Amino acid sequence: MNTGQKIVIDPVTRVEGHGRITVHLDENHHVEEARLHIVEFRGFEKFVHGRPYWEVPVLVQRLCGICPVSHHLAGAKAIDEIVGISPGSDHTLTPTAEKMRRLMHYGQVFQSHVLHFFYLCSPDLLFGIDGEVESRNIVGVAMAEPELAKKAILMRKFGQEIIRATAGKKVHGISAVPGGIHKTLSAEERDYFLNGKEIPAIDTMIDWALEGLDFFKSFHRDNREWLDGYAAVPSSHMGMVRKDGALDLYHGDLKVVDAEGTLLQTFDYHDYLNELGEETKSWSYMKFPYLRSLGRQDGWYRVGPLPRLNVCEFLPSPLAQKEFEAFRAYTGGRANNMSMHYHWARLIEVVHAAEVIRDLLADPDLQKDNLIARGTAAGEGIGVVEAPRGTLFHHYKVDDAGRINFCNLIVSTTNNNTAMNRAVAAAAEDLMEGVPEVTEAMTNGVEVVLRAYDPCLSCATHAVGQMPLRIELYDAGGTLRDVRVR
Amino acid sequence: MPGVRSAMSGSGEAGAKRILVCTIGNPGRGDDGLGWAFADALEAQCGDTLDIERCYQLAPEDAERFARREHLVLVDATVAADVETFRRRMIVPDDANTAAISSHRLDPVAAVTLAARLYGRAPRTELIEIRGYRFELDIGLSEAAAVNLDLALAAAADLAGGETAAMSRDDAPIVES
Repeated sequence: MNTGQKIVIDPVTRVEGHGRITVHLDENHHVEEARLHIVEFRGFEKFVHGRPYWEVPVLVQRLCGICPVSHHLAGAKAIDEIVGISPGSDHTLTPTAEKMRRLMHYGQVFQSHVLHFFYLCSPDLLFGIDGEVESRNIVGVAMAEPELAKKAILMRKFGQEIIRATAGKKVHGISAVPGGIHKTLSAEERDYFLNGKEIPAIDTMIDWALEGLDFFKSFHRDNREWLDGYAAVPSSHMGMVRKDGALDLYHGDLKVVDAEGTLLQTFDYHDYLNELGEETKSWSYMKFPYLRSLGRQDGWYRVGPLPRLNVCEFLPSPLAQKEFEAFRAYTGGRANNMSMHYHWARLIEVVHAAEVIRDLLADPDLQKDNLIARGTAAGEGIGVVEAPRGTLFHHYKVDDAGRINFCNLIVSTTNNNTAMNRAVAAAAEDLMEGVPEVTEAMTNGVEVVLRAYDPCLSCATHAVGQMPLRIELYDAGGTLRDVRVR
Repeated sequence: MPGVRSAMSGSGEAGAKRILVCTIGNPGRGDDGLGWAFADALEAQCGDTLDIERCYQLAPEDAERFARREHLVLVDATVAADVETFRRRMIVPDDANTAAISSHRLDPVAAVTLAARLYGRAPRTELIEIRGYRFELDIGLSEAAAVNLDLALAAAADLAGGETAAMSRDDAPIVES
């Protein structure tokens, strides 16, 4: 008689959106299979059909309340091409428009990374994966490390204020329009971020970003074995780089390296359909992208902060560059495949984003009024940015009346689908292999590695409502054996 | 242990009014728009005497702002079965409540708890919960929810004068760590 078990973690907590993890144990309590299921259907690619192209940048950001700026800008970049504006062509964005968009984007990355690390993940580091459930949240952090929590809250506020000043609203902004931007940064708005009177100044943000990074590095020194080894999986890595190899989150080519760091390919993102395939599986609404050059079996890859630092050659800001050099030296210059090091890379990007914001705030182009460029209309546009969670693709075609008749989106989290499934399986094997009873700490441990990827399941599919954690244990016959709810 | 101060004036923010009314919800999801509808009505009646805000949900950053206020009124839709039409009550920091926090969303008690624990003080806070019934994608309130909104507004007439009935009550504390 088979007495195997199926463990369900539904929904997963402290991630953006709604997902479910199942772990199948055989009769000897060995992990047979672990999967991340995305169980909600969204269908945004169909919603936009028939809408006029100029609605896209505002419409598609409704995909998500967490990273709307990323969808706003990827959509805007694609629609730029439909109105004949394309980087590297004779018709490009005006300097003011591109810099305003970049400021918005780096503000988004700054606040998103801060939220993710300090609000969602730091409780696992501060209290341990087996810490009291009641403490594993931002209030718990506030109790244990009040100065850290205060700084994290003000850092997120700073990033959101950058978004408000550039996009018009903190959530679901409206400023990026086909061919440009409809808002500049006034001198008064600029000074708000520089003088430190109403909110801490950008220089303070840089200092605090470095402190946050030191917090992680200190934890790493004390917990090296766990952070390095937990759910580590070798993979290919993809991210955006400038022509000179620098990290660029707004525009560039896509570069892919293998698990050792060897270059596999660099391609113009307009060729993404030739370079990337998408596989579907019956148990998830989220697709499984892969590199066509390596095939479905071996072509999976990772995106996000860790891969970005694995593919770029340098960071074009001095303080972050220094940290990047230490990060790369840790693996002897080879690719870093340690899943928990996503946090390390993310916090280096926080420093980098703050430095970029500082430089942009000092740029007088942001107060100029040449906002819109025009070119020759085209029937198709592709826009790609590096969203906080990774590479984000928007692709549209329009009919003769300018109505959308094709839309394809590959969101950051979707790129990481196979990787997250592999990481969940690795964590389940680490924690549950041969164990007769699954504890709350074990299920949280599985979630910990998923959180490292900062998945946005609402982008990938859908997210509505409360997110309590429900764990159900079934025997092989489908009989409910145990239930845990938190 | 938190201390209690029974009476204060001033807002702690330059130019701010005495009471901040922060309404929570999403008018694109039917009766979840009750909070914002409350704000619309209140603004029409007495927008000059109150600071009125609308948000989709409370976040930790709100605790930082709330800690600088003296009087806070939070308004939200509820599906609580024990709320027949609406409920208005004082809320205070409660450390035992924090387990309910998920992601970056805070419930009202968690928000004032975070303010108290992190910034040393929480405002005197009232929570107005209005019963809603239909929360699917839709704009506009259900008829039953609209009736409950009117009842809640009628019972909040004190706000129109820039006061809350609870302001002078001894059991309406400002909490200071």
